[in-house]
Amino acid sequence: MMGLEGRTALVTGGSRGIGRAICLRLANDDADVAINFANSNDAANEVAEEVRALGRRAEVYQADVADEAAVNAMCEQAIADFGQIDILINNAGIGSSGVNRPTITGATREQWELLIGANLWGPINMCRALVPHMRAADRSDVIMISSVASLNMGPRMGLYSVGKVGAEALAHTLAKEEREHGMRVNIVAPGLVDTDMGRKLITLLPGPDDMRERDASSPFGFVCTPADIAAEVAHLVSEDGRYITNQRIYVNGGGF
Amino acid sequence: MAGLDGRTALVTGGSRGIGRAICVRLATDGADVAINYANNAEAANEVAEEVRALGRRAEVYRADVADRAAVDAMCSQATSDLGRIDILVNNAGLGSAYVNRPKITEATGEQYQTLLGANLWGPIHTVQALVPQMREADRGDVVMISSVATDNMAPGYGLYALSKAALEAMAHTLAKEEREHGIRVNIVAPGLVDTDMGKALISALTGQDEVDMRDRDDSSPFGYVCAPADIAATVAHLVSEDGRYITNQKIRVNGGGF
Repeated sequence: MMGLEGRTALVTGGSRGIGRAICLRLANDDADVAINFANSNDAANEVAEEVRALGRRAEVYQADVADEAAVNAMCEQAIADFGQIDILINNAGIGSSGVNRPTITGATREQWELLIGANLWGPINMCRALVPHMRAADRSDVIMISSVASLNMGPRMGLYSVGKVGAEALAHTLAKEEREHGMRVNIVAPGLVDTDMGRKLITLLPGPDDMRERDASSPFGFVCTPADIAAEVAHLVSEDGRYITNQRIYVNGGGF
Repeated sequence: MAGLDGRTALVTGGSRGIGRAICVRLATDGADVAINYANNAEAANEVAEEVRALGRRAEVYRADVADRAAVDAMCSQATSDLGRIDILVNNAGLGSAYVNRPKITEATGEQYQTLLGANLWGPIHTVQALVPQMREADRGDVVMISSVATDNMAPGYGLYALSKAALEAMAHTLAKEEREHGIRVNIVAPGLVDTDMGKALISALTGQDEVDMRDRDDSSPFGYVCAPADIAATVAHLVSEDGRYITNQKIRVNGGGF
């Protein structure tokens, strides 16, 4: 049913939050995992240890996904280490809260480049580096972690929304281009999730700064957990999800 | 992960095709199953035997879902037999091929009534009969089986498309109305599936009396026509612990379409 034995996933931004949960869930479902991180070396190695404790292979790779040369070097190394990579999870990203939520006109060039770099160039670089390689597998999967921001287009979320919408267009197009190669490409779009990014965001929004104080007013009485997002990713890349491609699935408790 | 132990599902149109696959999958994942059927008692009983062979309880209930009184009686009996229903799968339906794919302007009132009855009124009846009680459960789930027909709006499929589009509108509204009660409401939309309805569709398109779905595999996404189990797998995911934070969504299971 789940059975990812023999499959290898590369997860960007895998050291924390949603990325970490995805690494652990895919390992739980029997995949080996290449864990990319940008800065958090210790955290990435902890995730690797957790994957190994589940009986799967894990390796960590430092690379800023906005850096094409670094991405290419990472993918070359990961392929050398693992052989065939057949699951790519484009999870690494930077939220608008990472640059204190500027407006479209108020953001600096540098702030724009930082967010477009992580959220759009990152997936572009990763897909260019890995998708041709992945075609060799009988079945392969690409997942884009997007956001409800691409629906809401809220004020002061623009630098984030623009990158995410771009990445979604990339995903939909890729789904059509690569279907003949047995590649499934899908988008998972969370709302607020209990992660560092989520915790930073709520400090910049009206309402409680403590995640637990937000549970009662959240869908179903709790803020979405990273595991809820990982569960959707796991479903899509599994045998159960084999006939799903070109879809965008919101995991947000129906929104607010 | 799946763990539907202690949960009870009612599946309309559970004797064949997608409905049968859903009954078997939910039972595999631990749920007891109330199997509704309209005509095919023998097939429904076979599904019940499969469910019992998986170690779960099953009962069969005959009712035309377009018939309000019959649905009320069925839901009452099923609840009495199996306990509170906390998973409702509105799967029963009739395709355009059933009424020979008439145009909007040419379809008779009766043809409209037939498709609306099965595809829209049926789910209205089951929802009204079961959702109020479902609120008492910690968690409830309603899944509507719709179709990519509501994306395509193709000539000749209007009666089906409009009935399914209306069903989707009900699902989205219901999701918002019932969220505070812990009820998740979602839509699964297949394309062509290897079922009697799928074969009837191909028969109408090609003029062939006998359809071999295997002839369509090569030209299908990923080299095969969608199996009923593929649809059942996404239904199972939505109603499981894995799907607990998903509501008000429409998931197309169609290999990306054509």
